[in-house]
Amino acid sequence: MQTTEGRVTRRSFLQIAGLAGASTLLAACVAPTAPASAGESAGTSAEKSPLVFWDCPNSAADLPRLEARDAMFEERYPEVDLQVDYFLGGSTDDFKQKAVTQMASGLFPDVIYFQNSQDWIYKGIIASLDDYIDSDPEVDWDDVLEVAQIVATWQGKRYQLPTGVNAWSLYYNKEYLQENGLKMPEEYLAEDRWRWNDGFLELTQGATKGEGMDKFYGIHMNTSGYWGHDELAEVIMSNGGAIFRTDPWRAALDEPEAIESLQFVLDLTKKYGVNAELGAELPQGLELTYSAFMLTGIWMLSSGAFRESFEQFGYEKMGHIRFPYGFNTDYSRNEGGAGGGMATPLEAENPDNAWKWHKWAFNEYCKVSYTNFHSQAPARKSLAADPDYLASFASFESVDEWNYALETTVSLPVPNNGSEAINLMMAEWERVMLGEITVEEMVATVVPQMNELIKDTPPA
Amino acid sequence: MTTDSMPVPRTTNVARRWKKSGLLRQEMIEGWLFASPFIIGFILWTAYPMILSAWMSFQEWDILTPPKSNGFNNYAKLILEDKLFWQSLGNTAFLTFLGVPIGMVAALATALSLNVKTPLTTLYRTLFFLPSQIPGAANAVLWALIFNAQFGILNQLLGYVGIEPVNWLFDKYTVKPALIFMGLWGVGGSMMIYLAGLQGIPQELYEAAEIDGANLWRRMWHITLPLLTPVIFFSLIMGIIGSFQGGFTSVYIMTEGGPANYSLVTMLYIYRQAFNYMHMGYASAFAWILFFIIMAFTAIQFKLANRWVFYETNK
Repeated sequence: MQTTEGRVTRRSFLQIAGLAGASTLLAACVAPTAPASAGESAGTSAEKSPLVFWDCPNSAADLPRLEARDAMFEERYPEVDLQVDYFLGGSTDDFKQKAVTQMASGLFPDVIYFQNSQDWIYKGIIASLDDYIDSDPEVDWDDVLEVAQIVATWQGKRYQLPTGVNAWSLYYNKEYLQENGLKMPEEYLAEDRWRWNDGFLELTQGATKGEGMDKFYGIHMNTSGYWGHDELAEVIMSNGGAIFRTDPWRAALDEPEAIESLQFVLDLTKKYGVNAELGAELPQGLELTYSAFMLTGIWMLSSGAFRESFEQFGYEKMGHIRFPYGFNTDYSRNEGGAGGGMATPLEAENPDNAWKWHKWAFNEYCKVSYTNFHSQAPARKSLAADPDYLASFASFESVDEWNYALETTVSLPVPNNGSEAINLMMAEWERVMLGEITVEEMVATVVPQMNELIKDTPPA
Repeated sequence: MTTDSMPVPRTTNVARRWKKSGLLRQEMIEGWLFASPFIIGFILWTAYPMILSAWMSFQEWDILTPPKSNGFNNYAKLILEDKLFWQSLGNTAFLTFLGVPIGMVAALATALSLNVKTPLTTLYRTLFFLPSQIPGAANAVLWALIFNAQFGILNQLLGYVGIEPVNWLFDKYTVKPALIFMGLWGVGGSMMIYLAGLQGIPQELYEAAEIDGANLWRRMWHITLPLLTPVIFFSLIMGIIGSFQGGFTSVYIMTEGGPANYSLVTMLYIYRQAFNYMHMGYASAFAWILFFIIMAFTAIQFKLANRWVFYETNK
């Protein structure tokens, strides 16, 4: 380096600064690669063929479990260099946004977490797995639960090998019901009284106590915000209604079954006072929740972020029952992410390795634990029918109820512009809860708008 | 006037000197080199995205498939058909025109009260400044807990004086005031600027006024505020720009724009259109409309500034 009396000259400084700047720019322009998975050395990865996987854990607390999963895969397929990129710190929606942005820039994984992402199929991003499924004798497609088959299939082609079902249903505080001399919901079920306006209402009204900030609610159903549509869907579907119909695509909130359901949810808060007001963010753990019943999905019970609080509460104190029957049905439906799992983009560079992952997850890993990929229940009939396996589901006694939940889970159809349509619906629903409009007025306003938004969805 | 007396254009002068002086040329190159990190960064990360977004605002583009030109449709749909566009603008305007003045008054009042010398002044200044350094997301979670209708500390405190619990974030009348109130938590940043401005006011002026018998209020009105007007003006400009462009983190985390879009701010709506709904062209059009709105307000403020902003260099 040129120096003047031991000092760096301006020229040499500029040369070094320019070189450093150019290097930094070049480094920044190189396409980022997914980080190598745990336990992998750079020396061996060069000899292996890569498998890039974009995953979306429920929370950072799930990472150790998922990293153990990755290690199991690497052990099973030592020739594959598994590179997992975990998207942390956001919801599945945030993950979708990040994934789409990266794919738009030409960066594609071989396997991608796939939940409520059917619009990617419409847009031609996801590859059909038909050839692999048909030609691989180790995969038994008929063992997939029917609800998961429906979600994984689009226009006759299969885009997923489903690994799980996020079944929603009701969880309740057995101890609280006993202490307050209330009957268990199973008794109402046995008496054929497990219906909205009968046993369910009687029980939740009996469980509701106190006033103001000390109020203990009969049930916790948070129907505010975008995700509040999950709760609404559960109720609507349990009355034989739907948010969207697919034959042809249309918003179905104006059907009498849906209107009745929305009115019932409104009444739970405004008329009967058994559910909290809009936006009352009751803590999720039953031990903290000021409610006897909680409507949620299996993912929450076993996901790292909430698992601890449920364990603390004690799974043995927790009961589980199907959502009560609506006015118009003799069944209850569970809104859930049926068929949740993984998919492979058309542009994937290593589709054969991707298939190894799909098959391993479907045949082997899902047997390891109920907290398999994303804390979902198994999507396979053989596992769903296995009492021993189901018994591992957080010590729930009622295997029958679990089977019922799995078999009756329905995934909400995802049309084009589905998120926008749901946001419109939820904003109008919030106006209903604020007392600005009636359910009928909401439906009259929002259904035409939703139909306009989803009109370009290709036929299923 | 003869040609000899005409001023030589500076560019010609520089060009002539450029040819003559190798040193000057070297200095210019070096100057550009030193400025180049900013210039390159500006071109890559600001100018290019801006030009691209201007182009995108005339396209229909879902990011994943090729864009299709649709002329002024995005702008027309926004202005003529989209109720949420107007609602989000209205909400943002409410938060801006109520929140910014309240925030400025709070920051100025805090700065004035901390512009005294006591043994604990530094500690107090630090304490007031600290909340402004808390990341927005952490702030939002904290205030969501404070405002929680069921177990929030605010309702508990109000309960001690017999006030019924208020559903702060899910009531159409309270959600925006609650967000403004929460914004006061971060006045520490502006407070520091006001403090710097206050300390730049010459003490002799106060001493002279005191000798002339001016009381505290008169000193405040005739010395402090006039000499602080450049800082107030700066704070106002930045506050309005920041408010029109801001609010995203808090509403995204605390209310999702609810209830019933009563807290939907422009940035959240742009974000939703761009990344939730994949309407990148539509979102770009909204961003450009917002740009022109902010530019118009800034221009108006600069125009009006002549009437009330006092600079020491003014005659």
